[in-house]
Amino acid sequence: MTRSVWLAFTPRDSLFIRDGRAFDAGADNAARAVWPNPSTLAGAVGAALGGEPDEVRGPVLARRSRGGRWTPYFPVPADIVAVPDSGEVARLRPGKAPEGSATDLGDAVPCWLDAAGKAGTGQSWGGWLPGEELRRYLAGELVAPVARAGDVECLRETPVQSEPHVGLARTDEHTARPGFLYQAAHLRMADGWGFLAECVVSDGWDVEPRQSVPFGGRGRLAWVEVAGSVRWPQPPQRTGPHTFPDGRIALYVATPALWHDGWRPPLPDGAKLVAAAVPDAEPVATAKPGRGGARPTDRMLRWAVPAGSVYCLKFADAAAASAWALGDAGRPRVHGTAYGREPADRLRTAGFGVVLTGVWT
Amino acid sequence: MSRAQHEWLLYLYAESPLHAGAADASGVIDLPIQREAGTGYPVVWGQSLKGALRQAARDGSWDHEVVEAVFGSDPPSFGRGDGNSGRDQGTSTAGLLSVGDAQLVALPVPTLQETFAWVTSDIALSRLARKHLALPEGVRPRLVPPERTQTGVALAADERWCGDSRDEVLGPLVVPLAQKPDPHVAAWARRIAEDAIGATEEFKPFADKLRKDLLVVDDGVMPDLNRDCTELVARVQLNSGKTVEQGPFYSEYLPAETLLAASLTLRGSDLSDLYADELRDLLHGRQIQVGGDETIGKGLVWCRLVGADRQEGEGTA
Repeated sequence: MTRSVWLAFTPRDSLFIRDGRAFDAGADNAARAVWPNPSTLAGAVGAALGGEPDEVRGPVLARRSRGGRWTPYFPVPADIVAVPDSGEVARLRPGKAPEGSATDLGDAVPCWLDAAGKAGTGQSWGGWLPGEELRRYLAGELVAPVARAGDVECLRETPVQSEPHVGLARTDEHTARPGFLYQAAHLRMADGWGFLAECVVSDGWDVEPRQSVPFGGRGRLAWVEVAGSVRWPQPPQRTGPHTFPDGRIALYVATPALWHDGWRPPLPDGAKLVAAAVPDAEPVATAKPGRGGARPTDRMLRWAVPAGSVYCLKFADAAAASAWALGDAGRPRVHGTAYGREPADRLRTAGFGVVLTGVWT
Repeated sequence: MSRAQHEWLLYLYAESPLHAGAADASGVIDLPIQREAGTGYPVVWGQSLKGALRQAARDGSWDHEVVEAVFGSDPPSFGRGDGNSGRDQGTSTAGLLSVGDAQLVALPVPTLQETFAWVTSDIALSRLARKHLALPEGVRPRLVPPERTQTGVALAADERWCGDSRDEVLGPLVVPLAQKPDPHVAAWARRIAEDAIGATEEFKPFADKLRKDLLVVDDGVMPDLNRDCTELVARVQLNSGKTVEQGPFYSEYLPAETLLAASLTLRGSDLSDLYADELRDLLHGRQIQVGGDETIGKGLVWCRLVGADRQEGEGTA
């Protein structure tokens, strides 16, 4: 049997996490840090616990209150867009493609997304929703289909700033080493912000994390603590067969996803992909730590579906949708787990592709 | 032989103005100091500090192998050898020492009495308290930032800064001061004086001054002091005829007497106790050079390592 423990990581200094693209001092002169991806966090979890849990699910941006309570924040779903010059936001709905239009996706998605006649929409709203607001979104209550932007509790500014650092290698004679001036943009988190990870561990595992562990590159460290009372936003309330009306499920991607078919998630039996809102792919690096402090090896660069993407799925009926999303006697739930890869796949156990399920209309 | 991880708090006490240079020019300042992107607080990035510590180790005649084990390999020798910039990737090491950013603890600010006071803030003390958490239990001070009841009012460690309706000039600002000294601020002042400056004869006057002349301002005041109480120096380059060839250009410095603190973590290894001793000898109570303009006397800082020389239980305030 397993149980779930949430760990919180608070960077002690600026963060420097690379995306896997090559950077050699002396050959290149600029690099930038990226948002921590699941493998970054899984590595930190392993260091904190002294071993690998069964699964890690994260990262989730979070804010710590003075009392030590953590509030998770999630990227605003990509199907929520700003309506220009109106102070409103709208939730896109699947609709028929305009007459005579075509896409290079072929028949992969039969419907286009539009915003109920709100002309001029199309700009992703962006920002971050606290967990409770995302729960309302999943239940179809947050923007249905239009809302005043001020009525949505949304963090518009990411609490992380890019901080350009310059570096210069010196010789033993205290002079600059030719060709070794470079610039690297670190990330500086605002005080009180960090990242959460859900760790699935064996029941018998006594979780006592180390106080601080390496987080990302350049020997940067993060504080570690157990975050009590954190959980994924709940799915729509189960009310008989009507949890997902007509078998419609909005699949929200909570952590970057690496699916076998690129941008498209594997479809469960009997389900169709109706429409999708997927922002630009983001680079993800994975690497194995070197032995004895050596630099990482086996680096791999992949392109991931970004967190915040939304897929509109259609099942045969509400019961089939509910059984898939929330589990039944024979199947585990999909909501709040990494989806689309085999149970033992390390990309799954590291936390790529955690999804949440909600409704669409 | 122990493989224990060592955690220290490294204080830097500026003997001369300190210029750890940022990436870009800022307004009229051609060469600004490093600052945090979010808060604008002065900082010395961990990479810059680590480079300074590595240089101190080299100057201290450490064996090359020890320098490499503690601080990591030198950058690849691009352009010197076979031209294969990636050839060192598999053999280079990251080093056992993690060096955090040196964040501001207290800034010397001109005042109308006592020449200057060290000014810190709620944010700076909160960060210092958080850094204390990394220290071993036996040497961990148990101090919390003072509770603030009035917005905009500075808290003082000593009664000579207090009184009825008392205002004080702090750099470019006039800031109201609390009526009575704050015991929490006094406790912080004692702790910082002992940890950052020390009690030797040469430093005692300054440690005594810090115990009395520490002020804590709130987060509405400190950004102005961080911006206006650094030093701006105009420099020119002369030609052989002693006329100006280039310039003027403006460099920014953290003033002498500035206090900064960084967390140091030495990962466990078979030789970590030995390396810890070497680092202690290199840094504790020693002067090193950090940042630029070394040849004109800038960047001299006194180092003290908390967790290096005290016995269990002494750290509790």
